Parts: sequence; C-alpha cells; structure tokens
Amino acid sequence: MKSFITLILSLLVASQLVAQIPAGYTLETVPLPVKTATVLGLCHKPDGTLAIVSWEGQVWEYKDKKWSLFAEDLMEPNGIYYDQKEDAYYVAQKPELTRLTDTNKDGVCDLYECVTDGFGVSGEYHEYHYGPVVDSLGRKYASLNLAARGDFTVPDGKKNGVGGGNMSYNAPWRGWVYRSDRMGHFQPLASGFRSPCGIGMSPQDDLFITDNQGDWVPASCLYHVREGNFYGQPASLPARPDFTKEKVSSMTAADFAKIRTLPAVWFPREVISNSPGSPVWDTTGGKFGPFQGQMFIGDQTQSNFFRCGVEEVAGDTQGWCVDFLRGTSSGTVKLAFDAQGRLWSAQVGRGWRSRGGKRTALQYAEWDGKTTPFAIHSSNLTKTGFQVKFTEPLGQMITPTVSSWGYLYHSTYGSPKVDAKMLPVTNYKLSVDRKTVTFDVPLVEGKVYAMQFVEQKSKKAAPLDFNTIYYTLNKTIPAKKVNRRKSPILLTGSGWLRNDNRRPQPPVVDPLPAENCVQVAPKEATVLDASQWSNPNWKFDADGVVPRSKGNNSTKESYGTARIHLEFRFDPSDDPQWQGQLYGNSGVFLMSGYELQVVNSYQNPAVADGTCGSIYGQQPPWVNASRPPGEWQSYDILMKAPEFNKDGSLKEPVRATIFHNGILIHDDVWVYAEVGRPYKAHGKRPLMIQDHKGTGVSFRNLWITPDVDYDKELDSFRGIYDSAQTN
Amino acid sequence: MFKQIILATLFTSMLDASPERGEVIYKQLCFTCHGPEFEGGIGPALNDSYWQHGSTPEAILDTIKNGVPGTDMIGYKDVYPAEDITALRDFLLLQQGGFRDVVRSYYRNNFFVGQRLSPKLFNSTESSAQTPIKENALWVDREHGGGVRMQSTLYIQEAGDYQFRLNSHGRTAVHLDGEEVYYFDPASPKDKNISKTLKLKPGTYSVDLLHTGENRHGWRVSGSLVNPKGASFRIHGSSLAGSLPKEIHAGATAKVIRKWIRDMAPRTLLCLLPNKVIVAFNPETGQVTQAWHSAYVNQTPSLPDRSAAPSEIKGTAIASPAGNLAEPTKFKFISYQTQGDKALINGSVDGQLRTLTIAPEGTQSFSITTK
Repeated sequence: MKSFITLILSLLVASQLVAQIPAGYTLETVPLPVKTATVLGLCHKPDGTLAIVSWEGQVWEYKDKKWSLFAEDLMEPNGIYYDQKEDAYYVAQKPELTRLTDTNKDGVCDLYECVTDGFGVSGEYHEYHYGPVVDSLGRKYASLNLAARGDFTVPDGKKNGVGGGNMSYNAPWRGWVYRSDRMGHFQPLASGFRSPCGIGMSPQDDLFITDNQGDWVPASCLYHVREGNFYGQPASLPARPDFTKEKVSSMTAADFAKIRTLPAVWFPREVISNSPGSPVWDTTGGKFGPFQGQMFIGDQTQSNFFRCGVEEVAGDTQGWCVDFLRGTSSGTVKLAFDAQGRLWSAQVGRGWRSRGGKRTALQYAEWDGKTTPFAIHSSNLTKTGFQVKFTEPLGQMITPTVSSWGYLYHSTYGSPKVDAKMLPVTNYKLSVDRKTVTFDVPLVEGKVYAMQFVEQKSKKAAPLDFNTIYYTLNKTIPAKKVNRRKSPILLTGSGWLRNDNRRPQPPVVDPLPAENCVQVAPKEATVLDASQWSNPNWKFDADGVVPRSKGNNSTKESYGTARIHLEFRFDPSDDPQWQGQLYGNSGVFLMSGYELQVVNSYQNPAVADGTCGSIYGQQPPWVNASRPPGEWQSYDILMKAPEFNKDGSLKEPVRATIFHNGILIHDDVWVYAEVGRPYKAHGKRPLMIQDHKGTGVSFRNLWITPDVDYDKELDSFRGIYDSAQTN
Repeated sequence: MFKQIILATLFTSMLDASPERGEVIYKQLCFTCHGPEFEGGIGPALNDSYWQHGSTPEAILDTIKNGVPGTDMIGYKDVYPAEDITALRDFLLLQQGGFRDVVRSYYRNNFFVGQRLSPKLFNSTESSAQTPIKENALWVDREHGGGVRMQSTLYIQEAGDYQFRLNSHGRTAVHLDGEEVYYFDPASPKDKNISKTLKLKPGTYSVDLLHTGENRHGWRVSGSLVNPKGASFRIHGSSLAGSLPKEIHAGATAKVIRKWIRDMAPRTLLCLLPNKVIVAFNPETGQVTQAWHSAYVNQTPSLPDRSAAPSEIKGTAIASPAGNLAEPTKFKFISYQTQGDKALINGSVDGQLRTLTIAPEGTQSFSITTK
C-alpha cells in the first residue's frame, strides 16, 4: 500500500521534474551505506576508493561496491580531500581543519590532527566551514561562512532581518577564505564572503569561490579569489587591520561598492543557480566529452550541473555559464571527477529545498565516449560583441535573442534584475566549420548578457538542451593593447602575478613607539659588528651605524635557522626622481637568497609585494607599519632554514615570522622561492644585505642568534612585543 | 484523492482492537526497555516524534511483529496473538497522536493572489515539487515564497474535544475531510480564528493545510492539537528531514567525538570512556570543563533541517572534574587519538609536547595523567 502511494507520488513528481541529460551521457545512482544520512562531500583515492563525508559526522570509504566506515562523530565535516603522499584525509569540520590518518592500516582512522583552528566559531549553526582544496604546493584552502544571526550585521540603515543584512560576524575570520601552509598554520586570504559554499582550485592554481545569494550578494556568483581583495559582504571587514566595527557601521553601500571586487560570473537565479556548490575542472583529457578545461558546478536548489569558463579582460576575470544537465536526485553541492572521467556528485537537499526532491544522494554522470551532444560550448568577448562556440556544426542560422541586465548592490536579500533590456544583434556571422558564431551588440560594463539561441538546430537537426549562455561583462576589451610581461609569474594560489600592480597595498597601521623596538642582543647572540662582514666598502661609524655601500655585503659566517634583529633608517629625500622603489632600496637576504624588502614605504606606494617588509616578489606584509624617512626602524625575524631531500628536491621551505617596528607583518609565512629563482638545495649561507640603486639607507644594531629551534621558539617569539603593545 | 480512499480502507480494519488491551501489554513488558513514561532506555523513546523504522501504523505494527535485527527488540508475532499486537500499536499511537503520511507540495508565486485558499483552488494548478515526509509531523518549510500545501491523515482513536491552535504568518486554510475548519488572512483580521475546538470521533480524517506567504526566517505556520487528556502535539518541527535518530554511547574502547552542545565551546572534545563517563575537554584552554557519568550523547535534535538545534548530553554531572593543566591558556592543541579504554590528547605548552591521558576509573569517574 505504502509503495502504491509512493508510486502515485513519484508519477506526479516525475511529471514536474523531467531530467534533461545531454545525449551521450548517463546519470547513475550509487546506493549509500546504511544509516548514512546526508552526503556533504566526496573525493577519490588513486586506487579507486571513493570517500564521502556526511552531515552527521561520518567518513565512509567505498571500494569494490562495498562501504566501510573510516571515521565518525566529527562535527559537520563539509568537504574532504585525500593526500596521496601522506595517505591521509583532510576534512573541514565545523570548528577545525583536521587531518585523519589510519596509522595502523586497519581501515579505520586512529589519529585526528588539528591542521588549523586559527579562525573563530561562535556556535551559531550557519558558521559552516567548506573545503579544503589544495594548490600545487600542497597548501590547503577553505572558506568560512558568516553566522545567520548575531550582534554584528551591516543593515545599512534598513531594518535588520527585514530588508537589512542579517548575516552576522560573530567570531574572527568569518566571511573569509584562508590558506593553511602547514600543520598549525592559518593565513587569512580574502574577505567579503557571505555563504561561500563552493571552493575550487583550478589546474592553474587559481582559487575560485561560489557564494550564495542573500544580503549584500545580489545573485549567486563565482569569484576569482585574489589575496587581499574584498568581495562584497561587509560584515567580514572588521577582521581587516584597516577596519573596525565602528568604521564598517559608518559606511554605506556606495562606500563598499568602491572597494569590492565583482564576481567573475553571475549565475542567473532560477535558470542556472540559486545555491551553488564547489567548482571542479574537467581535466579528464576528453573522457567526459567535449568540454575539456571547463568548470563544472552543481547547485543545491536546481539539482543540476552547469558549466563555466573565464577569461581575463583588462586585468579582470570574467566569463560565462550555461546549463549542462538537470534532474539529479538531490542538490548537487560537491563534485569530483574520478580517474575514469566520471563526474561524481555529493547531493544534499536538507535544510534548503532541492528540486531533485531527495534528502541526499550520490550520483555520477558518465559520457559514452562517442556521442557528441549538441550544446553551446563556450563564449568569448570580442571588441564589439561576442563569439559563441557550439559542439556541433549548426544547421540553418537563426539570429540569437540577446538581453542584458544589472544587479543592485545592497543590504537587502538578493536583487531583482535591473535595467533589463533587449539588445539589437548585428553582423551575425558563422565560421566555415559552422561551429562558431560572432555578432555585435552594444556592450556596457557591469551587465550580464543572456544570449538565447531559440530554435537553433544542429546540422543533424538536433535541438539544444539548453539554449542560453550567460556572459558577465565586467570590462570591455580596451582599444589600446595593455602591455603585459612576456612570461608573467603567477604566485601560487594568490591570484596575482609577481610584482602585480593591481594587488592591493597593505593597510597602513601605526608602528609601536621607536623606543620599544630597540632589542638588545641576548648573550647567546652574535653581534654583527664591523668584524663580521666581508665587504670592506661598508664602513661602520663610531656609533655602529653602517650606510649601504657599493656591492652586496655578506656576513663572513654562514647561518641557517636563526633569530635576527636589525634596525634601518632612510635618508630623507624630496627629489621626485628618487621616489617609489628608488627611495632607500636595500634588502635583507636571509641565507643569501630569501629577501625581506627594505625600502621607504611611508607615503611612498610601490607594488604590494615590493613594499617595505614584503618577502620580495611573493608576499606583501600583512600591514604597512613604516616610519617616515629619518627615523630608525626595526626588523625582528625568526626564520627556519629550508630542508631538502637527498635528491635535492625541497622537503620543507623557508618559514619566517617577522615584526616591523614591533608590529607582526608575517605570521609563520611559507617562502616558496628564492628571489627570482626556484629552490635549489643548499646548506647554511651568509646573511646578506643588498646594494641597490636608490637614496641612502643605513643600518645599526644587527645581531643574530644562530641555530634556534624555530618551532619551539615560535610561540614565545610571537609574544615579544605583547607587553609593549599593552603599554 | 486516491490516497484518502486507500488510507480510509486501511484504518477501518484497524479500529477493532482495543487500546486498553495494549496498555496492559505495555505495562507488562514493553516498559522495561522503552520506559514507564515512554521516555526510552534500552530502546528508543516512544513519545517523541521520531520513528526509526517508519511512522505509518503499518510500519509500527511490522516493527512490533518482526522486531529490529541486531537490537534487543525481538519480534513478538509468536508471543502475542495478532489482535494483541494491533492493540499495542494502537495504544502507542494514542500516546503520540499526530498526523501521518504527510506530503508537502510547493507552488509557484502569485497563482493564489486574490483568491480564497481552498483544496479546489490548489487542485487547479500544478505544484512545482512534492515531497513525502517520513515523520508524523506537519512541517512547513520556512524558505519558500508562494504556496505550500500539506496533505496528511489525522488518526483519532478517542472521541472528544480537540483544541486546534494555529499561529500563522500569511494566509492559511485548514480543511478537515474537505470541510474548512480554519481560515486566517492577515489582511482581513475578522478571519482571525487562532483556536478552534473540534469534536472528533474515532477514525481517520484527511487534513489539508493550505498556506501562502513570504519567505521568512522562523516558522511561517506553527500550531498544535490538544487531545481531550490535555496532551498536545505540534504540527511543526520534529521532522528529521529523513535522517535517522542518533545517539552515541560508549563502546568497549574510548571514543573522542565533537558535537555541538549548548553552552559548550564549539571545539570541545567529548571523551566517551567505556565506563559511560563523558569528559568534556576544551582544546583551546587545555582544560576539562565538565564531566558526566552514566552518560551518552543524543545527536538527534541537531539532525533536522540545518542543524540549528544542538545535540544533548544525557547523564549525571560529576561535581568537580579534576585534571586541569597548570597553565591552561598556553596549551596548544595538536591531535587526539584513543588507546584501548583511554583517550589521548596531544598538545604543546611553551613548545614542549604534552600528552594528556584520560582514563576510566571505577564506574562513575575518570583520571587524567599528563606526560
């Protein structure tokens, strides 16, 4: 009887939800293990094992069609990654990023290690923690949801909860994306996220986040994450060193609009996505059909897979989205390709409605290896309109219908389409192979363009499953070509190139009083006076002050892991010829190869990764704590020498924790190359101070404590200025 | 409409058995595991809204007849005659009351604007999604504009006056066996009728709740039905959204788990020792904050919906749990593992590695050693 009712119901439901699966693809369901309720994430091991995490706190492994329980009673693990080298899983539990290891190889986890808990968690249910994803250096990235209720919201003058932002900043780093370089390390990367349920690392080491529509998020969208940027939800801003809660509360939507970075792709609500999950890239080499390199994303509400692609235009990332497959059993939140090129999806419809109807499901889509579906492949911006590619030659050409609209940026939940209009399409052309069309439309920055190919059939008379592609136009192609470096170096996972002038300046903060920053050499330290240096051009005066002179200056001794202190002063100059990087340039080369930049950054902007206190060409300081030229400044450095494997490959990179004028500017940062060149195995090397073209700079009170234990010293080193700060 | 007919047929045959006979059997046997007040013990509670093995009268009958493999619940079909088991089932249902075979449907915005809500009106349009709900609770989603329809069966065994109370944000109509018993429209306060006494006879009623309203955080419709004995059951909440109830008990070896518990630091590690002692250790401070004996963790409340409700620790608090570190604030948590009946928590204090071993002691206590 019960099954009869179910049958009637499923007939009713089926009439509503007709699955739309492209030709050549199938969608298979895998039965879940008994008692597992809600799948939140999945990953594959190279041996073919699939692992899933559940809302209820379990990790299950699936191999040879059998499930086995690997771990249980974690707190809402929302994503899982398998590290082959370590033979361990990483899971984002609500309060912690955790490594799970089966040390005795009995198939059950027996060691639970805290990778990082450097973020706050208030206990509010909406503080989800998503991830991790991993870059090519093995560093983990995860995202932190704001709370749904709490005491710091940004309603922007509207009534809270009714039209005014409801998401709340209850604990440190909520609304941020972070990186963890190693066990115990936490580095906040970018702010302004509301409900960043989707996180993905591209094969090119670019980090992407999808966020869910709500207050300050006009529509669900895809962000290309660049370190230091702000992405729009202002409740997360108080964590930035240049903001306070008071400052954020005094700002308006217009103020936030000036500092926010726009999404690379807006996902039109109801047609593409309402609550997007994590992007994955088709790196299957053609095993999943003709969409190699494209991004696949699922949506919890829509129960679909859609495709995305991005391109860089005038320095901004922007791109398109198009639907791919509809009618999954439940909401497709996390995806993963397996070695056979099948697209697996962890599905959940719990808490938020999913069109698929099921509470949870595990399904995979598979391509038959031969049938090319007739679909819109991708789109690119041209100077005067768009190019749109198809997977198959077109039949009779039918001019597309093109419309555009914008969104409001405000504290209210979501935004309607504003300024929506139909656009005239001109100059419609088809390529010789009949697979690419180009056309002109009026282009306006800040709009979403919907290009609908109504009734367009392929040469073989197949209809399009999904006939509309949406392009987010942040920037038009500049008339004049922008000069770019010939071989730009992308900084792994940071979104920026080396010496990228788009990168935001580190926030300016007050240094500690100079008298608090003179550190006297302890007795175990080597004072680096005149006798310790090898370049005779650098002459110490009677007060122990040494000006930068001709040629780099190295210590006679070689050093490895060390605690270093030094002070420096720039000669004041108002000559406009000697500004920017020429105002007092030098550098402290740790182990002769890892440069801590020395340059005047007091009201003298330069590229962010070249400012005073930067690990040059890699990592800007967390804040700019510079004093004016003419005043003595200080560096306190705790650094760990790199470790190399027997074959010369890098085992563990240089780590450094650095204070500038008593302010922490690098907290256990991973230095992942020498200046301008990759790692090459080396032992102890001299400390070096750089000679560089520029106005004068002098040094004093240099000392080094060699061979300290970095890990043991780190905690107490972080506190060396604690008493000074409370004074 | 199919559904009502089928259910009516089923229920007629059910009403012959006497719940009084069921009560006798419950007090002879069942209470030993399920508790004199149905609160549970060895077996699950029978007075909440969660039915692990199906909530339909048929499923409950099946569970009593055939038992639950792998548990102490044996099948009773060879112990009691069929009519006794039916009587027992009816007695249990009487304790819980409620709606059964709930189906929730969603409808697009705007269709119902300006028209009086009625089953006929809802029948004239297609729903956008339809979901059967396993539990015996009418449960209205909070995050959906447009129309919602909850169709279910109300199963009444005892004649009498039932108080029907509703609290609604938006327009709501309730029809019982096709007859409108409730109508609320916030725009027409004269319609407001927040409580109604229904004279109900034993039998089954089809219930049709129709609602339109805006998205909102918090319940859009909530309410209760109070039976003649004064016991009420809610018509919202309680849905596990299909999850299974979950309790975590100590096993033969120690377990270290993390659950969200009210008023407890979210990073707290709960060490479940084999002697049923639970020790709460806060890894941020390196301190034992609380401990319980004869204890277990009930995760069930946090399983519905979005985990907006915390899990609970059931047990007897131990007055002053020992074992704080000398300098708790400097404790840096590294990892945890278990070793036989002990929980091992590793951390560092001033760069020195420390291992805290939490071990069971006697039947109601624990010890901590630091190395």
